[in-house]
Amino acid sequence: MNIDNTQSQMRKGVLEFCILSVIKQGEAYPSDIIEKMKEAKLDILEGTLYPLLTRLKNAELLTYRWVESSSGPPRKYFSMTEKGETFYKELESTWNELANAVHQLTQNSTPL
Amino acid sequence: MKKIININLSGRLIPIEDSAYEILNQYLGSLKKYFSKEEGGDEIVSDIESRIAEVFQDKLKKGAHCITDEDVIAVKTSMGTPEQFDDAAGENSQQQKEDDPYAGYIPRPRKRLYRDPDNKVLSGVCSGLGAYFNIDPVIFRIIFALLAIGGFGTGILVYFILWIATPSADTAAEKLEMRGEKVDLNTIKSTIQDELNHMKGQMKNVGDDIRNFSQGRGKQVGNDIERFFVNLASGLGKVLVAVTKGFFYFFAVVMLICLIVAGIAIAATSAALFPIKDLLLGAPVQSMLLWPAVGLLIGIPIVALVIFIIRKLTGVKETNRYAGYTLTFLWLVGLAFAAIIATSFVKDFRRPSTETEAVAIQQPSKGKLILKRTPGILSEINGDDISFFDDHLLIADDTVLINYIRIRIEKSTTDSFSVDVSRFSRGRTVQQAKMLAHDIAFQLNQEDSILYLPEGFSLPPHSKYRGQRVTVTIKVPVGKNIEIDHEVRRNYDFSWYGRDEDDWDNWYNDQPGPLNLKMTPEGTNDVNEKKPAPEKPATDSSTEGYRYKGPAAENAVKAVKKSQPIEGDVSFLAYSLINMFHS
Repeated sequence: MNIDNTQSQMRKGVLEFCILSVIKQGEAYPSDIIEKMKEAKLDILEGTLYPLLTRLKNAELLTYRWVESSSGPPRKYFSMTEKGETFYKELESTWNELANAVHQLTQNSTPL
Repeated sequence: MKKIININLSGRLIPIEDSAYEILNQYLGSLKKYFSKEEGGDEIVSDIESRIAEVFQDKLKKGAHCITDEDVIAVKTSMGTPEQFDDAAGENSQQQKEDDPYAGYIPRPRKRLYRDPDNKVLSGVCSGLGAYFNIDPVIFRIIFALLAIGGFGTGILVYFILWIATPSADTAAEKLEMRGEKVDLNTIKSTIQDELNHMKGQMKNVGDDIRNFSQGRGKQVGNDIERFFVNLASGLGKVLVAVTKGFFYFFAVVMLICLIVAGIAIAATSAALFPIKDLLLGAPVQSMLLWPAVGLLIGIPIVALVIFIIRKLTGVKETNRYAGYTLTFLWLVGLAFAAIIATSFVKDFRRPSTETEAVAIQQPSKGKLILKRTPGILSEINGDDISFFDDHLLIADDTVLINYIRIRIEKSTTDSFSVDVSRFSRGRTVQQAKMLAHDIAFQLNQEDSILYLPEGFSLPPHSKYRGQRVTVTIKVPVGKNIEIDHEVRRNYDFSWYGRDEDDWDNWYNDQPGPLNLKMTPEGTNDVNEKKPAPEKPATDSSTEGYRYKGPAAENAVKAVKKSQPIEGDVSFLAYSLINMFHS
């Protein structure tokens, strides 16, 4: 069993949730999202972010608009749609359940 | 030694080493190939390209002269290679494709009205319109020019409104939006195709649901049904919002039409307004500010509404803040002008002055004075007259006629009839009020026992209206009679010594024929007072009907009582101002 693979599988599972969380806080530009993830020590391949954003957009969970930047061509700023909000809420509750479950299971030997 | 070449990477100029360029080119090629399988693959690749370009530009900003092999490799590791993507997200992408029926549905870019700064002559309004309607902008230029010359400047106004209302297409994205998508057979076909695909996807979804259900996964279907109702509810909400919006726009349009009609009406009656303007407005400041005030107070809301409607119609979201500020400022200026005029105007009515003159009259032969109304002045004026203040004021060609005449009946202290005429006016100064009062032309005529009252009094040409009125006080000696014609009662404003107005209203509203009254020592003057007076036989029987008939009648009278101006210094001013707004 490859440890790297398992780790990346774990990360991959929550990646969408993390991206949506960042965008939920306000309109975000892909580089912002990457920066925030790096800050949070969540290492991802940047290359995986763009396809994911496009898919989320195509699924109408996200929408974007072009914003002129002071340096260079316009940037895509992503924001969440109503559909995205409901999607996010479902993910959030699932995550909370999962986190609680994992916490309970891992801490089982020393009950709180 | 390495060659440096300049490349354009998603709109950025990047100097890059030859070998680094090769690596980058290969990498991007592999990405393109990888993502070509995916929906929106081009978009993903261009996003990645733009990210890489950004990273490179940061490097250059920090002082690097060019992009080296190491830089490209660093980017490649942080981005990841297609192989790595497969490990990380490959499965995910497969799943996504199957689950999402909306994957093939991409909303088309909306077309918007912008000003086109690239092809502008003046501000780009016409070239923007041309881009919007896909017509040569010259045609719009010609239309505006013709409207400007032939349409009394409407072209200029519309042009300026469009100028303010539409934003300039400065950025590349805005320019794309300005041109939008060309509407031709191909795009229509592809739109229909998209719709069909979308529907097909939904049908497939329904099919899946049925299959799922048959496999015992009813719960999911339940969820779908729930979702359906949620969607339905949100759909209804959207309809409600749309209806509200529609109503709001409708309201805006109606308001706009009202304002425009008001504007046209003012323009049309401005000729008619000139005389009253000269009549009312005294200080030069007032006449100077009047038209700017009217123009700004009515014109600015029209302009603002037109801008609002154009914005809504063209879907422009960005508001031009400065235009808003300017419009608000101009409107406030108009308001300030109006306030200045109003305060100055009110000051013109500040000081009252009365000039009282005793008019010598012959004593009537039978001890009975008859009041009659001279037919004339007012009814002689035909055609071009304008009435204001409930017909109290009439403007003829060169004179102003006012029929605000009060008649007071009082007890004489001597044993003969006497008549006082008080000319009253207001003015900015006592001096002016006095002068205006003096200028009132009012003439009483007497023929034996008949005293003729003119219908009104006139002001000299170019005089001002400052609440002028004439009070005729008729003093009746005790024991003598006065007969008041029905015409007189109906047309003049009476105040009555020893009587309240309710009684008076009762008489002149209800009774035809002349009213015959006798002055008594107590000050009551009606020979037909409720308490029978000893003098009663002296009056003729026709007065019988004028009598005050008790509380029931009094109540009835109160119900129909007309609002009369109250005596007092301020009240007339208020009365005339109120009337002015009514007319």
